[in-house]
This record gives sequence, C-alpha cells and structure tokens, in this order.
Amino acid sequence: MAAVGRNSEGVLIRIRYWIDNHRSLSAGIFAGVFVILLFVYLYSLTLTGEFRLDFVTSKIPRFIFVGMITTLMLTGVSYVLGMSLGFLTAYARISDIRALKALAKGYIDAFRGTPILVQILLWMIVVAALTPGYRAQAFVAAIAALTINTGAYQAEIFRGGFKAIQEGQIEAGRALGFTSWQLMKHIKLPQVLRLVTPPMTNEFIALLKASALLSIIGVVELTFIAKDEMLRTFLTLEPWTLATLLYLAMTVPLAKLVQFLEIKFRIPGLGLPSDTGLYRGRKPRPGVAASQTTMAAQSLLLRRDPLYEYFRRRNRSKV
Amino acid sequence: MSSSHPMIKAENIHKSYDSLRVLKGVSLSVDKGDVLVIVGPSGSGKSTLLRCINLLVYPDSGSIWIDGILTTHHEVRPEWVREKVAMVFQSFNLFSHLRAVDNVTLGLRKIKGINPEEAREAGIHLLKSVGLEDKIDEYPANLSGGQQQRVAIARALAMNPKVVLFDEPTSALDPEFISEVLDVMTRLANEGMTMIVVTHEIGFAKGVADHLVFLEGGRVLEEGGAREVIESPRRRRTQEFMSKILG
Ligand SMILES: Nc1ncnc2c1ncn2[C@@H]1O[C@H](COP(=O)(O)OP(=O)(O)OP(=O)(O)O)[C@@H](O)[C@H]1O
Ligand SMILES: [Mg+2]
Repeated sequence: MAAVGRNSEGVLIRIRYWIDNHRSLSAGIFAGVFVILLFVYLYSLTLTGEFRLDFVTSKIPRFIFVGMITTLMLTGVSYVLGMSLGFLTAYARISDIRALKALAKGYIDAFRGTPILVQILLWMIVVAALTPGYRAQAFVAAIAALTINTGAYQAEIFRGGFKAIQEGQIEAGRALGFTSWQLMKHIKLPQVLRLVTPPMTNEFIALLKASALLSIIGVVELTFIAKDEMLRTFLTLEPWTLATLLYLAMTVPLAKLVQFLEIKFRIPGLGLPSDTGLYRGRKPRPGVAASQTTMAAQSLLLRRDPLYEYFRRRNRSKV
Repeated sequence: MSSSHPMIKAENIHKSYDSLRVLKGVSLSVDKGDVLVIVGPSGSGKSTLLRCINLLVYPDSGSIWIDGILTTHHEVRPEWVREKVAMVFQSFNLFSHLRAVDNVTLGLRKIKGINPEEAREAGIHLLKSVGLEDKIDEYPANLSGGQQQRVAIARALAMNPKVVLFDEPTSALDPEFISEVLDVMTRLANEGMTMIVVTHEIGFAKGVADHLVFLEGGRVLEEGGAREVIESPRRRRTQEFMSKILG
C-alpha cells in the first residue's frame, strides 16, 4: 500500500515536472483536447438536430459586429481611462501628502471591496437621476462603472510597480543631476511599465469578463445578445456556446501575445524571473542590484504558485 | 594650481533627522587633485556628509563651496551641483533597464543633450578605460559586482565632474572583486581627479589618499595626512579604531 502510494506520487511529480518544463506545449495540448472534445460533442448534437448549426452561422454577424465590438469598445475605453485614473491614484498613494494618501486609499478600498455588479447598478441609478430622458444612459453608466472600478485595481498594480524599483537607483539618478520629472520619465516609468505588464494584462482580461455584467442594465454587448437570442429563439446551448467561443477568441490570443512580447523584450533582472521555464535564455548572474529588483518584483507582482514551489523543493531534495 | 580656493570646502555643517543629530559642525577642505579618505564607525555620519556635499540632502546649516561657488546658496539649482559632483554608491545602483553603455550615457543624452551616436562613442571609451570593453551591451544583472561598480564609476565620470564622491565603493563586493575596483580608483586619483572616499580599505588610503578624516558621532575627531593618521594617530579613539580596522 505504502509502496503503491509512493509510486503513484512519483508519477504525479513527474507529470507535474514535465508540465513545468513544457508549459506552452502542455497548455496547447490541454486546450486542443478540450476544443476537440467540445466540437465532437457539438457535432454529435448537430447530427441529432439538438444543436442548430444554422443558428450559429446566421447569428455570427450580430454576435461579432454588435456584441463583441461593443464589449471590446467599452472595455478598451474604460481600461485606458482607468489607467490614467489608476496611475494618478497610485501616485497620490505614494506621495507625502497625508490627505491625498487617505483619499486614494479610501477610493481603492471602496471599489475593490464591493461587487462590481452592485457598482454597475448604483451608477445606473445615479446617471439616470442626473440625466433624465437621456438615451445613452446605460452607456455612460457602463463606462463610469468599469473605469472607476478598474482604476482602483490598476492603482494597486502601479503602486506595486513603483515600490519594486530600488530606492538606490532613484538616488543614483538624482546624483547624476536628473530633475524629478526626468527621473520619472527615464528611470521610473520604463521599469514600472515593464514590471506591471503581466498584472495589467490580467486586469484587462478581468475587466473584459466583468463587462458581461453590463447586460443587467441593458447595454447591448456580447452577453446581452446571447441572452436576447436565447429569449427570442428559445435556444440555449447555441447562443451561449457562441458567446463562450467569442470571449475566448478575445482573451486567449491577447494573453498569448503579451506573453510572447514579454519574453521577446525581456531584460534580465527586470520582471519575469528566468526560472519560470518561460524564458530559456542565459540565467542572470546574481548581482546585488538585480536580484533585489527581481525578488521585489516577484513577491509583489508575480503570484507564486505554492503547489509549484512545493514540488520544486521536494524534487530538489530528492535528487 | 593658480586658483587660491580649494576644490571642495565645507564649513560647520549641521544636519539632523528629526531629533537625531547626525552631523554636528563638520568642516573640511580638499584641494584640486587631492584625495580625501573619510573613516569612522557605523552611524558616524559619513554617508550623510557625502550626501550633503552633492546636495542629495540639504544641510540644516553651514556652507559648502565647490570650486569657489557657494552651492548651499538658495539660488543654486541642486541639479547643477550634482552634475559637477558625481557619486559612486556602495550598492552600485545601476539602472537595471539599461545596458552598461546606456547606463553610462543616460546623463549625457538626457541632461547634456548630446546625440545618441556621440554619447555611445563616449560611453564605449569610458567603459574601455575601466576595462569593460567586452561588456558594453550587457545588462547589469549579467555583470559581477566588481563589473557593476566599474560601470557605475564610468557613469559617474561621463558627466565630466569636478569631484567624485565614493561611499564605501567596495564593501558590498566579494573579496575577489575588490582590487579591480580599487585599481580603477587609484588610476583616477593618479590622473588628478579630486576625490572624497569613504572606505575602510586601509591599503588604498595609505597608498592613494593625501588626507584622512576620522569622523565619530558627527564630529571630526582627527584629521591630517593619511599616512600619519593611520600609522600614528594622536587620539585614543582614533588609535582604537585604527587597530580595529587594521585587524
Ligand atoms: N534619511 C534618514 N532618515 C533618518 N535617519 C537617517 C537617515 N539617513 C541616515 N540616518 C541616520 O543617521 C545616522 C548616520 O547615518 P549615516 O548613513 O550617515 O552613517 P554612516 O557613517 O554612513 O554609517 P555606515 O558606516 O553604517 O554607512 C544613522 O544613525 C542613521 O540611522
Ligand atoms: Mg554609510
């Protein structure tokens, strides 16, 4: 019994290890198997007439050119507006001015601590009260809700980025004669933008998914259209399958693209640590400055996977 | 030199952090081309003194002149002073997003407005002078501590400073890398650079420094020719300290 247990554990560890060493490949295999199974299932339903392929093909234009475009537009606009808001809030949060700090903290806590659905409904009520009879109320409320919500999250991401920069580098910049604006432009920003790229990508994807909740206040985005088609045609699997695939078509390639760019333009010692298996270049030699930045960046920005750490440690002690 | 004023003169510098009095009336003077070594126990205010000299922190009172110009005057821009007074840090502090040569030339390009090609040429020249011609396009994370510190020295020299301040430049280094940094500093001193060096490398102090200041509790306890103070300190405290760092 004990021997069997240990043996199967060994196999698990090996599988886990293989996955760690072939991350993109294994992700591709899993995704591929999932998609194939999905299509086989749907195809079998098509044959029995339980899945109406003709619905899907005839509704694709509406789903894409009304739903997906609206979803992307609302998410994109809110994300960019939220970025300015988040950056300023982060700056206020790390400033020396007490009142500003408190204000920033209050804003961040309030909007990260409440459900976005509640925020959306409240914005709708506020906007409706302020602009009676205005036709695009839902749109305004949507952009307000998403912008102000993502602003709070992005503020925390930027703050983490600024905190990860070594104090010493800023002092070195000052010692060279840089003004505080030049320090921001040439030393802080280039590093912060690199460090926040992964969490900022996650935030975009999270916001895009949260935009589905806008269907509640009648914004005609992708989820609204799926629901609308369901109510009109009494079909269920078809509209939601189509919506699912279109959401995936937006999120997966984006995440992959950012990851690719990140690896391609990687700077040793900044952000992405070399032992994630994503980067197969030269390992940075541990200089004091670099390892400090990497560690700070890791602890602040890259959520370490405890399971991964556990197996890595176990495996090392076994060898 | 024909000029009558010292390159650096500090008079009666006081500096407190809240209620902690760090510098309690420090005065010193360094002639053009001289090397001053500052030693003293931890917390005695050595780093604070260096930071006051290039105005990274402002002294609460007292005056500082660089090449005859009163830099603590309220109309002098601190950025202007820092361009003239370069600094090398214990922890190197290279900009981790820039390659070695770009670390060296950032100030040239962004402060002095020199075009990138010319700046790069100057940067390569400087890196060669510190023995790093094969590391021009490396990122700091791929350099050893000694190499990083030599890049930091090249970066400090790029702005063509009148004075270079060193704050324990070798104390974060593994022993095997200390001499390559000290060699560069020695050469710089021999070429006539005015330097203030906080270090406990007594060999360097004896061989290279003209003067030595022993700082304790925010005051200058003893000063004089480097060799004399090291070999025959007059005060008891200095004797104790010297015997400790001589090991
Ligand atoms: N920014 C600051 N805020 C508050 N206290 C400070 C600050 N900088 C330095 N101090 C304090 O001032 C005192 C002198 O510090 P300083 O760094 O000048 O000493 P030092 O002689 O360089 O010591 P070491 O050999 O450890 O580097 C220390 O007690 C230190 O804690
Ligand atoms: Mg110090």
